[in-house]
Amino acid sequence: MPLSFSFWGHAWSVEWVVLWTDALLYVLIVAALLLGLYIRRHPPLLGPWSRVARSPMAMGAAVILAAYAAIGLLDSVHVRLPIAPLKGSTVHYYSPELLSVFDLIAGPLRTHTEYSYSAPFATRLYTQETVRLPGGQTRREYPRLKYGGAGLKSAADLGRDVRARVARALAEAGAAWLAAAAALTWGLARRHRCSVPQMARRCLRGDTEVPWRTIGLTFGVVLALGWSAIALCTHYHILGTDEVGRDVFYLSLKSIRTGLVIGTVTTLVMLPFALALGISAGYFRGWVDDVVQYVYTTLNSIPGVLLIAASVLILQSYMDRNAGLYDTVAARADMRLLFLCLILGITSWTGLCRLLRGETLKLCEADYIQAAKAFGVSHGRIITRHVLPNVMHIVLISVVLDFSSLVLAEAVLSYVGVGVDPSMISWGNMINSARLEMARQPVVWWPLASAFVFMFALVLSANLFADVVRDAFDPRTKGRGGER
Amino acid sequence: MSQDPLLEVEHLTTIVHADGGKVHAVDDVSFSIGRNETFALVGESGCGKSLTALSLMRLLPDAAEIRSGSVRVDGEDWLSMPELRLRDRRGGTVGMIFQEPMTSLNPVMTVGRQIGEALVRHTDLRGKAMRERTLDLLAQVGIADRQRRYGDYPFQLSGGQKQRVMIAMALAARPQILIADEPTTALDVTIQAQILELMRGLQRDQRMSVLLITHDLAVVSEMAHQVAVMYAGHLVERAPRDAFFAHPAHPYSQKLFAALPGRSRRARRFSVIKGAVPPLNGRFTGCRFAGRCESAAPICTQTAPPWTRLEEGHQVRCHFAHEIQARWGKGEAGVPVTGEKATDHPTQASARPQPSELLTVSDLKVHFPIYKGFLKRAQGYVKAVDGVSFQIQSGRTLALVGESGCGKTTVGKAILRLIRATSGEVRFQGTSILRLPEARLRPLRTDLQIIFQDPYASLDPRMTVGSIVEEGIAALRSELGRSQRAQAVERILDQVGLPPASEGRYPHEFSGGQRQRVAIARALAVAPRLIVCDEPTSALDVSVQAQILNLLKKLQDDLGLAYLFITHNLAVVASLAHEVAVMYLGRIVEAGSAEEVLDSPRHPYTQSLLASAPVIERVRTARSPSAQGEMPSAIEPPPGCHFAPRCAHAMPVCRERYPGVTPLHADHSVRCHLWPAASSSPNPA
Amino acid sequence: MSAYILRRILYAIPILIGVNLLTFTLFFVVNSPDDMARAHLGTKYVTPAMIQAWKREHGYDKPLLYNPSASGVGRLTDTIFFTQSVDMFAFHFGRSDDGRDIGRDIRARMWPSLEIQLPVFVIGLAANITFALLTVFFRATYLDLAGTVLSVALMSISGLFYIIAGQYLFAIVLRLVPISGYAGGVESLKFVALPIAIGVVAGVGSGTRWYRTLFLEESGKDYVRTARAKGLSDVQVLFRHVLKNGMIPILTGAVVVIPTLFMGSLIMESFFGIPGLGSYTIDAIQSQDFGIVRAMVFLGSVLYIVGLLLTDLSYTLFDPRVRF
Repeated sequence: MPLSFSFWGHAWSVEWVVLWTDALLYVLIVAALLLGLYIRRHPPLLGPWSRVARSPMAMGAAVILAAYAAIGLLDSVHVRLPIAPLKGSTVHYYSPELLSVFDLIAGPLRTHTEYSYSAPFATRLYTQETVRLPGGQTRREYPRLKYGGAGLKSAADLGRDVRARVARALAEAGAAWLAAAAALTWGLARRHRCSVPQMARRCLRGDTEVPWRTIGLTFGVVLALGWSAIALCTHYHILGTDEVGRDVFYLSLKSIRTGLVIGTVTTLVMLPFALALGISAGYFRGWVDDVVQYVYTTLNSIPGVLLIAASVLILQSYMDRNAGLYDTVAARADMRLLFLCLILGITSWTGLCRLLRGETLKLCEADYIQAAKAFGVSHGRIITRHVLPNVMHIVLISVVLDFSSLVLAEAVLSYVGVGVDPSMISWGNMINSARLEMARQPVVWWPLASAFVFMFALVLSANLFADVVRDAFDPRTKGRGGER
Repeated sequence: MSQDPLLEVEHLTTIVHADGGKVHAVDDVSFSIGRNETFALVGESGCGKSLTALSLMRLLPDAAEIRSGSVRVDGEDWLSMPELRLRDRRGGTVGMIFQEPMTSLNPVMTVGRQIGEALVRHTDLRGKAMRERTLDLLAQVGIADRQRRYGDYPFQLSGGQKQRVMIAMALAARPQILIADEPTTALDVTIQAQILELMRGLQRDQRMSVLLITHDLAVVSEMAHQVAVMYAGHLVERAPRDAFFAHPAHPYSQKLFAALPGRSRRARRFSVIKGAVPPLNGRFTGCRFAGRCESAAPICTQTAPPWTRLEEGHQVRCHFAHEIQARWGKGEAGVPVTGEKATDHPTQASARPQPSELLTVSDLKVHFPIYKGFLKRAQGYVKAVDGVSFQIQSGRTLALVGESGCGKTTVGKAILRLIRATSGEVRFQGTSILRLPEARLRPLRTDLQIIFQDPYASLDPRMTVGSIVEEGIAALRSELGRSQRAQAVERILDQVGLPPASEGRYPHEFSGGQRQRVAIARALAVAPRLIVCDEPTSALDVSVQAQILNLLKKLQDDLGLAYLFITHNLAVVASLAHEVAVMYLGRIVEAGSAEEVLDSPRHPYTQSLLASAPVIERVRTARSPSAQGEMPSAIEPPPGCHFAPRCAHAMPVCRERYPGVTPLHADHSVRCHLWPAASSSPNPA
Repeated sequence: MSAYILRRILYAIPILIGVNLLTFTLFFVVNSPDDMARAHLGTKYVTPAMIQAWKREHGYDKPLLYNPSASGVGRLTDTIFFTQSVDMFAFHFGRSDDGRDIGRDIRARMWPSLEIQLPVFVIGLAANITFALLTVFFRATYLDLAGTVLSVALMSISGLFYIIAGQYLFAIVLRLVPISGYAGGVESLKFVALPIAIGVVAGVGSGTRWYRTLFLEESGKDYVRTARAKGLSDVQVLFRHVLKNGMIPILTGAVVVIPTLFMGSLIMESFFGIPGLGSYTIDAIQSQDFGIVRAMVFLGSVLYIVGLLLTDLSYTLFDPRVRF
């Protein structure tokens, strides 16, 4: 059940609502931070990470991932706004609509809904409507949009206006970028004990341990794109609108959170199973091993999509029957998202479990574990002190590799109809609702294209990052070449 | 030997791109090999000798690159030759064999096809003629049953056979030069003797030149005509074999000799080389060995020494070559123990308190079941250990000697209950420990400890040295508080010769020898009475091995430890053990005091082990034959005496029943039909 | 050998029982027949009698595990578990919600699925191996880098994009193939050509990358150095040595999916209107026809287990080191 409490900052109050997936995301962030602190203090763990930090590809991808994560996190702090209380009443009522901090920031984007489809940067609707003329006659025409390009005197001004806004945005973004770069160079110069111009030259030449040049460049591109989009999106629907007139840019951004939740919470859910079962099967062998192997072979033998489909169908009919359990639509959709993560977790832990079992089997033959046994060290201690730290690289590699496939899986499942709740904004749902329009002439391409591009940028960054992480952590790829 | 050399290497420099920058692994190396001679390149691990060989063949790994120099083979410049033409020479003019025969053959290709491939590449033989030639080659390298082996896959061959196949492949196109990169390092001593003999014969018969790369001076002594010593990417000494072994002139070469274990060094400390090889990613201004050299003078760190010519063909890179060479043989080798109170010589052992029985192993058996068939029932057993008995007294060392696969490691692990014994009894100070519940065993675990072979695998890479050493204390001596434990760790690290600052560091920051010290410290931490040392030095270089053996001896003197020293290396046995037990295929075939067993071995297997071990001789002498063939499988050991099929003295009775124990003296017994027990009843085992 | 096969087959039985119990729990215990009936009849204006009638019509009006009202063996056999779940071992899948025989539907629909999936499998395998070998051959050059980045980019694109874009480009804009549909015989070629091409392209990114790592690992092994020391060219080394060893994990890994090719591709078939098992399943999911979904779950598991068996056997074919 969501925790809820109120605080009064201003004349009005909001109710902070923590959805289940929000809570899990917070847990994840805290865990990641703690892990980061732990790694900082343990040089052998830090080694591979510093190799990741030296890779331009990984760091470039990390900048993009960070941008996605920032939006996703802003979208994971939910509040309910109050409804103006009735006269004389002291009881506060809150709107049943759940808004995130991101929604509040992106206010106009969310509220600027048109009547139906409109193309990117369009000033008129994409479909003809019957308009009643003053004289009582009717005419079919493309009506002006309520918000898109509303400030323009005539449609001919569109190009000029967009150019002017973009130019201004780029100038502002450039200034912001320069300020950030200057601050960074100053900080680096202090750390490396050299003068600021020297440091700047080193950064520009790419002569730094951490590839600051790549990071700066990627950050610059993200900043320029983001700043321009922000400058334009309040005046235009830069990616058009969908069937019911919602801004596609807004939908694409809202989908980020769904993708991130699926990609991370699923892993979080399945990790304990995979770790506990995989390691104990490899460590204890015998009947424990037999049972674990039986369980994962059985689960693995059921086609993943079908198991998910069956579970979601059953969940759906359960939720339909118990509709009263959820106080808001968002809470209900969130519940379904959480269950989807659970089910995806159940179907995806087997692979990692098998890897861990194999690695543990190998590790138990290692002399240092034999040495620990010769001391009579207890099983629990051997597992936590020796086995667990030495299989963590496998866990990490599989977590980062799984992330992108889970994000892609969401789209497919939502398409099949067993993904996230239809009311939840996600790339899969965007694609699902837009695909029928492919048959329309001329074709409505922008919701599809937006969903695919946003998804592609996230998955590509994650894949590139995962590639480097795998190379850095996999002992097989280390130390290739050189005399032994 | 003709005048113009067949292979000429000049100023060869190869660098390796590593995480920490460029490593000058091979730095300005020049040498030449004449026709029909064996040239040995000697050096410890990491000195760049293997990379030199790979540079010649242009077979370097991706991360390495030849920077400069020239390689001329038979007058042709190999480094500037286009890859396409060089391919004709690779395997044609020069054949190469590698250290690991286990992994150097393609696992999914038959032996015949792999050799045939070389023939197709370099000769016109095809079809039947090719097959005939392949079979000839197999015969030449001494493969029995070659018709069958022709169609076999590598996994069906033993290690020695694989190396023979590798040699056959390298010889397929009748090369002028054979490069052998540590060809016997991965093999057992009896097999090593066979392979070395084979290579000597082939070199003589085929009039080849051989570039032999090795770390083993004894192998060099047996094989080489010319010797070059490599240190830190650099050649430091070049000489004809006899001159080199008579008067090594570089301080490093001399130290290598001095560090060799052997019988002559009993009860003495080995001379050790202090410090470690300098890192190769910087540039050197002076002599590379200066930091570890006892004779170093200021000039040594300032200018790199040029080559000094001593006599015909003997050159040294040392500023004081003449003086150093003159000093050789005058008390350099084997420094006596300073303040030697009592050596561990058995005859003097009475000076210590009377040794008491510490560990008694009787009729220990470890059988691993083989599951086969429909219900996976045990269809047979690998009799890894099949009735082993011995005793160890406190403060003494028993060496358990045998080749790989004889079950010696299994004995050690079974005593510590790391492997479940099938039957038999192990008593520690009178307490039978094999069937003790784990809780009652725990107090005994402080008395029994183990040191493993590979110091790279035996330390948890994710734990600091301090916590590795502390682990045992925390588990077994829970009465100690945190600060007491920290004190204990500090004291023990000091005891094994590690700086106190090592505590907070991680294993990867240490060299092999230092890691083995950590492993010893870990075992020592719980104050054991007996340590099982499972090949503790076989993964280490000679100079480091000496350091570790010295340390083990010192600890025995100081703490009265007993060792069960498991090894395949007879030279190490000679220098350390009081008692020796020789194991063959799960059983002890000969046991007794070190003197008795090593000086007058009675079992033919012990004799062949001793004969097989290469030794350094000033002048080459004829050798007695070593064992034929290889150790059979422990699943179906041969009937009768297990050694009979390889034994030169085998009699009919040997193939019928296993010989019983024959006590020869109070401290020497043997199991062999050549020494029938006069009074003891036959033991059908 | 035969003992080994027999043991593997016997080992499959407990797994099938496990799958069966799991599906039974999921479909009849968690989601009881009453729930199913309500889902179909709607929640409003439904009388208990209507639910009973619906259950009787579909054979769901029996107790789940034990029938006290029946006699003898009937107490166990006259139950939902026995008639619905255990019966699947005999491949009796029962009837779908609209009364059709599921078993017959499956038999009819598996061939169009196979017609797409088999070529995708074969061509895809060949294409992935070829591209992987090329990148390994040109390793540490810009071609390798480009190939690797391209394969990462390809695998970062949603499978839905390949289908939608492919259909739009080739069927709607270029009009090279029909948009969707299916016909029997040779006619079918023009319907399945595009799905096959899309299936291959969609898998080429991850396949190439995966096989490239396998080949790279092999080409770092000692025997490759031996082969080069023999004087073999890089191409010879690649084809005779690296390919042969790398193919063992590839082929044994690929064998497991062969039986499941019958199951078809859910999305592709529904998009291109191919009457295969994939679209059958997706229709069932969307119309909440639990009978069909249950049958497909069981069938998928059986095929997967057959695949595992074939994998074990294929080791003996591809790897000379494995003998039983």
